[in-house]
Amino acid sequence: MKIDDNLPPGQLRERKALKKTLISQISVCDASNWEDSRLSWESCCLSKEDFFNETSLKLFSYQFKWNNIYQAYCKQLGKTPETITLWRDIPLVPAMAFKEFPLFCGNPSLASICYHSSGTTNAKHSCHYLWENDIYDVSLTVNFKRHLLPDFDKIQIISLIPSSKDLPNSSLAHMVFMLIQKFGDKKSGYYISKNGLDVARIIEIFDCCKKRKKPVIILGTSSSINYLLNFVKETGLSFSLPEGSRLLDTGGNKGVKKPIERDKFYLLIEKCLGIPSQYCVNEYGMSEMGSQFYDSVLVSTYDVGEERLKERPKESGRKKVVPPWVRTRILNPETLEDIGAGESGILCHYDLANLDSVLGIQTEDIGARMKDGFEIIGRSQGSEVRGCSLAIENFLSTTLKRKTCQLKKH
Amino acid sequence: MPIKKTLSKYANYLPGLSESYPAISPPGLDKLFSYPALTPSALEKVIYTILNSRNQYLANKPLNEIIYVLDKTSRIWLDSKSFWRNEAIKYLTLSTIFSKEMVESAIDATFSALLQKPLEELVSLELGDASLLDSFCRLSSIKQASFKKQASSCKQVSIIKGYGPAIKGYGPSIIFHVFSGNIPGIAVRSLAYGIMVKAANLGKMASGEPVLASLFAFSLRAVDPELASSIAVTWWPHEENTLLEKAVSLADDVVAYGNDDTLAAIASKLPLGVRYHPHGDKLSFIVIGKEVLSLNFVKDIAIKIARDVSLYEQMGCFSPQFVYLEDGGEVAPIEFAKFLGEALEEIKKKLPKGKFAPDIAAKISQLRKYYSLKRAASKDATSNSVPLKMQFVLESNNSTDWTVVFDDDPKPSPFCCNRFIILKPVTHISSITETLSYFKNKISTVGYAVSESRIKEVASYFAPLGAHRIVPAGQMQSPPSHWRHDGRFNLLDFLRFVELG
Repeated sequence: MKIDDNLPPGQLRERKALKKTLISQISVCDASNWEDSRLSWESCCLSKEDFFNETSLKLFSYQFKWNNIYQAYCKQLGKTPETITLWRDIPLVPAMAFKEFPLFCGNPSLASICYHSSGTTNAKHSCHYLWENDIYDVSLTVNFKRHLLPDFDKIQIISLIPSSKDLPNSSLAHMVFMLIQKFGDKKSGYYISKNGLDVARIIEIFDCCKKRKKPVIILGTSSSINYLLNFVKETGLSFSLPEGSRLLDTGGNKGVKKPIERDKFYLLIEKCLGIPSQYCVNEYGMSEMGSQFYDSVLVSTYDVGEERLKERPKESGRKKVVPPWVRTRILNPETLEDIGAGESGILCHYDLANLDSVLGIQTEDIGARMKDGFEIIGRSQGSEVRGCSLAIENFLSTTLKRKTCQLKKH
Repeated sequence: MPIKKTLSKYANYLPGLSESYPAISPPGLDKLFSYPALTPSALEKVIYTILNSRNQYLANKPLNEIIYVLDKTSRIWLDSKSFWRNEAIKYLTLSTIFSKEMVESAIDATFSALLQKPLEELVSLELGDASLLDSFCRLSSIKQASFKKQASSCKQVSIIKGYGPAIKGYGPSIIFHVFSGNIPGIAVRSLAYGIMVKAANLGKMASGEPVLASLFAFSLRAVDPELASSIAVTWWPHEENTLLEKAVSLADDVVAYGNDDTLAAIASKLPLGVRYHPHGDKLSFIVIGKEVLSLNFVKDIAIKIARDVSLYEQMGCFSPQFVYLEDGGEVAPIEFAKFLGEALEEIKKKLPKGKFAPDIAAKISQLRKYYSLKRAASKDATSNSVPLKMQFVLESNNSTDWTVVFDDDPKPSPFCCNRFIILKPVTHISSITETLSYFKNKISTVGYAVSESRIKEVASYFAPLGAHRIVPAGQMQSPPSHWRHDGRFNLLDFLRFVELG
């Protein structure tokens, strides 16, 4: 169904104008090499506070007008386009709300795209509705290019993330599809399906890569990469992928590992695949957001220079980079004020790529501010203790599913 | 003044362990606790050590003498000056989320239930007579006469009078306990009952509370070293399956506390013949009848509910998640929220909030916004029956100390611990049985605030649903000393009765 047929003319007009602004500004960040990309990121208008403020308020106004549930929520809080002047005052929506409410600027039954969160089959999924992928695709490719491929136009992509055919409604699968389309050479492909990792083909392709002597990029979730590493370890194999090869691991916010675990993970990657940790980039994202956050490690080697990094290793410290079209606040969980230096708090994102839903998302993730970015802190020891009180969400989902199956049997 | 962090000398109690092993600790607690990284063969050696000790000593110790030892030990713990009590207060305050006041409350509740009187009551309730575990007890109810008549018809057979009929209860040789870390004291109770059935007891503590059971073992040693030599308590990482497999392979009974995933994982490793006593996820709630929702009573009811909600930071199986209030009383359900908020604020003075990590507070903050948004999304937001400006989420000022949510959706809805309580209006208490039917046999405790004439009515609704405690609001967290976890017997469930003829 065409978007033109499904939106009222007024909404269509407003959306087109916003989309044009956002795509043109995000596209400014696109560059073919790392030198130009650094400059282009800095020169993007959205990096400037007043332009970001103006654009985000326009987007808020649009979403307030056309997203009914969000409008009711904002009115309840007394925050409307007439009463707020700063992007920081735009009401944040809890990420978990996407599991129950269609936070969409329109009728969700008419939406062409719906991305679900990952998780167990029994748990409730978030649904993020979109009219189109245009802004999503631009933000994704521009961001990926800067942080994973500052030095190549095309590269062999080895995907350990299933295709959209095997994972419909997955924003991650769509991401991989777009990346292969834009950056993948002819030898790129998927090495995982519903049946699991195709380890035989992976070993074969690793051998070919070695002969080709051209760097490759592996895209995987933390779990698929761990599976591969365990396989390599147990079989006693090891690979030295060509110099310049790199790896992207993602698991969204569920794949967040503690710093010690992450260091061990990268050491193992280097041991099994020959990819140094500097070329292992973690991606933090979620189905509720159009944009992603990448580690700065790989691009730092280009921005700062490898020699200088050796002298000042702290500059290569892993941090998640906030793209110019996003703002991340870290809020004190008790007061919901911005944290002070040395503190940690709740990660809240204002993402202009979330054109069709809500731009302000409050996550459950905890982070700390770093220079030019943030780091994610793993779950605390105390948070593992949940008591013998019932985990209603999971249990209700499991029981309801069982009940539904029982009803169907009869 | 902050408490100084020093390594505890009493974090693990392992008789028979002579070799040294590398030290391990739960994440973030390495300055407080250190445990040996046992191998499966080292653990096996420990288990056989405590088993031998049990066979030589505990197996033949009269139950009343065991009770005496537990009583003497408990009195030490209830003494405010005692070393063990203060050691536990220090380390539990440092290592758990609980405040000092909450820790003291847990210690008092735990050891009050292990004094002589409550233990004798427990024995009387479950066994009738303590000597049932000490020797074969003749049953006087069966008459000898019928036996003689039967035997006399067999002329060829000489009459053997026999001893019985008599029975004796035998406990398992080894009980392996897997403790959870949410409520300090459950581990001690579990061990104490394991000792009473004269088993050797191996306890694995949780990362969330890795010390109280060990301190208890040391304190027992100070009173009765031989008895204490049949106990071993330590910690190992949750993912260390080889130790778990070793322990379950040697145990006769396995007791486990935790969420359903943890319990299922343990169950999958149990050999055939091992008896499993799992205690998993539970739902508890409160019901309030409209007849008591009057200005005369609501303040008192709110105070009682605040106690039930605040104790143990709502993390125990007795802790209520929802309060169902009947419509039609003098005080509308939505107005009750204000009274409960005031009571939660007040009880903080006696039971200060624990030390929560940021991600727990993040969860609370997330849910507060969720319910605000849910209200906005509901149809009532546009109706005239409920004023839009009425608050639906009451929050403690500038903090996540407590939260009261009013949610007019009767279905169970997302919640978290840490003094987060959800009020749901109902037309009649009986309607809850329908909405909670999915949770049958997952229900622990139902607190009630109803008129006296309705108490049995409340029981008639929720006992069939699987609730095993139905008690007045305010008493949810104060079970009698002999309370049955998940409705099971504390001693009888471990016993095998031998009939001697």
